[in-house]
Amino acid sequence: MTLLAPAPTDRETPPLVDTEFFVGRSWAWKSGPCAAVSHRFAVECEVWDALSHVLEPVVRPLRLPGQRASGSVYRVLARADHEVPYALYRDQRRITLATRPEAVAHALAAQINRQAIESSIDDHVLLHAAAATRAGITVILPAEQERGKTTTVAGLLREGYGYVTDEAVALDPSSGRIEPFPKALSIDRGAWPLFPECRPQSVATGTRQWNVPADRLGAVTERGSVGPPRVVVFPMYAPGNSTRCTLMSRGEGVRELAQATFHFPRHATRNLRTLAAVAAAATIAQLRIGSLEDAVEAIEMLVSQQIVEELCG
Amino acid sequence: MDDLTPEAVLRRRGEPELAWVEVEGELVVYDSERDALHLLDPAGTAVWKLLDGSRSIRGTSKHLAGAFGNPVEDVLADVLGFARRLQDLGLAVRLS
Repeated sequence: MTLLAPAPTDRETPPLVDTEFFVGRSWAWKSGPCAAVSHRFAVECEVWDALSHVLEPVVRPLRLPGQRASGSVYRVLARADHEVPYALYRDQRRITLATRPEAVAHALAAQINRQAIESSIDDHVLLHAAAATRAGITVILPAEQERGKTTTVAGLLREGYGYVTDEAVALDPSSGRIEPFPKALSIDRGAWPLFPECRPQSVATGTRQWNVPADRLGAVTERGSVGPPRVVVFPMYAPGNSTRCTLMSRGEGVRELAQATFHFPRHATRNLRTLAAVAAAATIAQLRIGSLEDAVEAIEMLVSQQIVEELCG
Repeated sequence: MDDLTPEAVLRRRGEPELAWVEVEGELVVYDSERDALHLLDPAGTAVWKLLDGSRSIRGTSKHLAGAFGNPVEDVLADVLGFARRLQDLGLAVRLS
């Protein structure tokens, strides 16, 4: 029989710890209270100089200055003289060990997203979608990964739209209003040439996404709830094709919105009713995207029409 | 699966297996057992609403033919085809 001693790494930063584990540690940086829809949290780091350039863009857009701290605490611990120098915890559970600062930021952002969805699913209808506002009109862009949500919303922000989210639209089932989730935009490598102004000061080899706060695009972030969607556009990036906007029926809109809803079956009846109310009051279109410029122009057209309709009552 | 005749009686399935919502004459149905979404156009929605187990497919067709001013035999063919599809998808069950 072989007795396996715990690895030294596990003794220093074990997978599960008690609340006393963090007592007496020295924190080089504390975020203060933050929110991602219903997920309340704070971030504390033992080391900051080496991490600030990657963590600050992830955390800053979600800070809630002037509010009381509550909810979870994410902690980044330094593992001195280790080949894997960082450990990330959420409360008492270790989320990951990381070699590079970028991996810490990636894990933190992913965990915040996941918790935002899990903690908000019972009191919101959550769509996998980006969203932005102009002149009181809310535009949402529901889609799976790699369809062009973030790139398109980034293009809208550059044209003066207000920022709501690039990941999860949180609809209040009773009012249809949207709770912002203004996380840093996750701009994929393929879209980097479209947004040279967003390039971080340093980009480590192997980086696949830039985390870009909306203000880097000159956008104002929506802090309070915004009105129900009035323009719903399902983007589909199709390189090499022309950009084409096709109006959809409201029933098609509900079906597509349902398919874009996180954990739809958990509250199927509530979700269907909420999505039907959204569809009944919105212009709904599918947008095949050949170029960002044309996509933004097409959405501008839909928004302008909606503004005119609302002005005309 | 047995083939449907005009005298067959179907009833749409209901809650809790199905959730549905109507918007501008179209019906979006969610089948929780199969985790599937279906979209019915306005004609399909009209048939769906009549499949309440109280009348045969022929009776349903007569009702729709009267409402839309079409020949019963034309409507019957469409309703039969649609009813088969609903049965195949598990959205309606045959009562007799």
